[in-house]
Amino acid sequence: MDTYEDILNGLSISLREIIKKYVDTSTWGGLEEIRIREGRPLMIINRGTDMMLTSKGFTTQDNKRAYTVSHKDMVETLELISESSIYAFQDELKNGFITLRGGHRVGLAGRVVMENGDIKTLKNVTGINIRITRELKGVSDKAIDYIYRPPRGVYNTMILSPPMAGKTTLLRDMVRNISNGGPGRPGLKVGVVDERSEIAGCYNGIPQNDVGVRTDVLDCCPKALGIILLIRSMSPEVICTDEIGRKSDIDAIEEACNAGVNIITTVHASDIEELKRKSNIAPLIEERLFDRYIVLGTSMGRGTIEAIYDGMLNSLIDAPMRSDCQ
Amino acid sequence: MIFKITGAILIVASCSMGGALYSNIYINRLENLKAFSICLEMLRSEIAYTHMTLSEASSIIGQKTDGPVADIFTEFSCILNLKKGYTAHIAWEEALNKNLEWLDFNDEEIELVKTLGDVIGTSDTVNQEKSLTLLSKQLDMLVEKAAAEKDKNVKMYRNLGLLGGLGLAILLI
Repeated sequence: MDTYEDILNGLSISLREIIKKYVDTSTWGGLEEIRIREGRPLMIINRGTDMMLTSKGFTTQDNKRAYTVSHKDMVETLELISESSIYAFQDELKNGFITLRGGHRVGLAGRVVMENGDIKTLKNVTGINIRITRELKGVSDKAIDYIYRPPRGVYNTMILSPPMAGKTTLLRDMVRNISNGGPGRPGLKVGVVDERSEIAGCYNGIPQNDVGVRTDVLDCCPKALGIILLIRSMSPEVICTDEIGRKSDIDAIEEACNAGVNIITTVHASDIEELKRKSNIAPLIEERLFDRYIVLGTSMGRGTIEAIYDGMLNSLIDAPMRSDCQ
Repeated sequence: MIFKITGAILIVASCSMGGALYSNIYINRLENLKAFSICLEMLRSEIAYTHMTLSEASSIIGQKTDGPVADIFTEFSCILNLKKGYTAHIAWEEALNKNLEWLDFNDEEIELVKTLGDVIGTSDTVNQEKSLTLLSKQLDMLVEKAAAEKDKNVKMYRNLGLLGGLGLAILLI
């Protein structure tokens, strides 16, 4: 229930009353997102379905009955999310998100202020999206057998899936699993470059999610810089990072592989064919830099492992599978 | 006769004490204004260099300093940590109101310290620094004014207490 309090603490008094009422009459467990847009209805996404909320906390599909988010709600919510310290989160504002205690990510939309071609800050915030993070321990239990390389290591692995199919959740649990080790599988030193604070969900530098006992996290660090920094400073055996795509990311991954460090990463792609069409990623497939490709989908629910391929793109499983989580 | 002398001494002593106590208001006020100025400078440093959140910075300031001004910063930090949905503006006003009676500030000084709640935490580091610097300058002017008033009034009220006591004692004898 702590995690629920962490989210309520970031909401204005009127919004938190509505969400409290909603949770009293519904279930907290299915809530995925709270969407707050100034002058528009307060919305939530519960188990993939978006709904509007009335001021009494009931769900509705009628705009007119829904609670309209006021300017005061926006200002207060932004202030509470930033712990009344906007200055302390100015780098996060540049990136468009703030991480709450508990690892929940708050995405922000508003007017972007540019300086010398870079984003200086975000002002007049009119859209806030609170994405509720839930650790699903055990989701990687089946996949881990396919990426473990005896006697002590893991294969370079790429997890691919469309958005919201669970690749970050799988990666997070893999980090925990690899770091802690398991029966016949020694724990390895893992370095996580968590550019968007989604894997470890660090709050004041402390991981809010269980990322294992041998894991070091570089929070809010650009992937390319972070990979190099970790190799130099923390001697990791495995480096994990989320959503690669830029040329600089690819260069850093190649450097890590040359240094003998294994990489586990994720990419936005529905299948291998789509992956091959990505100009920055295609050379990696040809060079066989990665030994495992895990394709996620939703055929058996979110987080289904639809396919696992080896470096030559031979399929390693016959049918989709899912791990039960704790 | 001995009673008269004892009574006269008591009158002079209590009137002197009254004058001294009243004059202490000016001393206390100046000390608190100076303490506030120091705390404001500490807050500016914490914001500009360590980027600490307001509750952390205020708690540290409360620990490093003494007196009613330190109590205000500690109280402010506690209210923010309660996470009851109070904005910095409301939390500051509440912390200030709880400790206002110990400050001996006049209306102008109270208004100035209240404005801290309007600006704090709502902008980026550069603008926070600008706002706090401006507030510090205004506070320094009030410190100068309070120092001049202290120099003028402390001596006057102490003498007034003593002389008033003596006068009263002579009259009664």
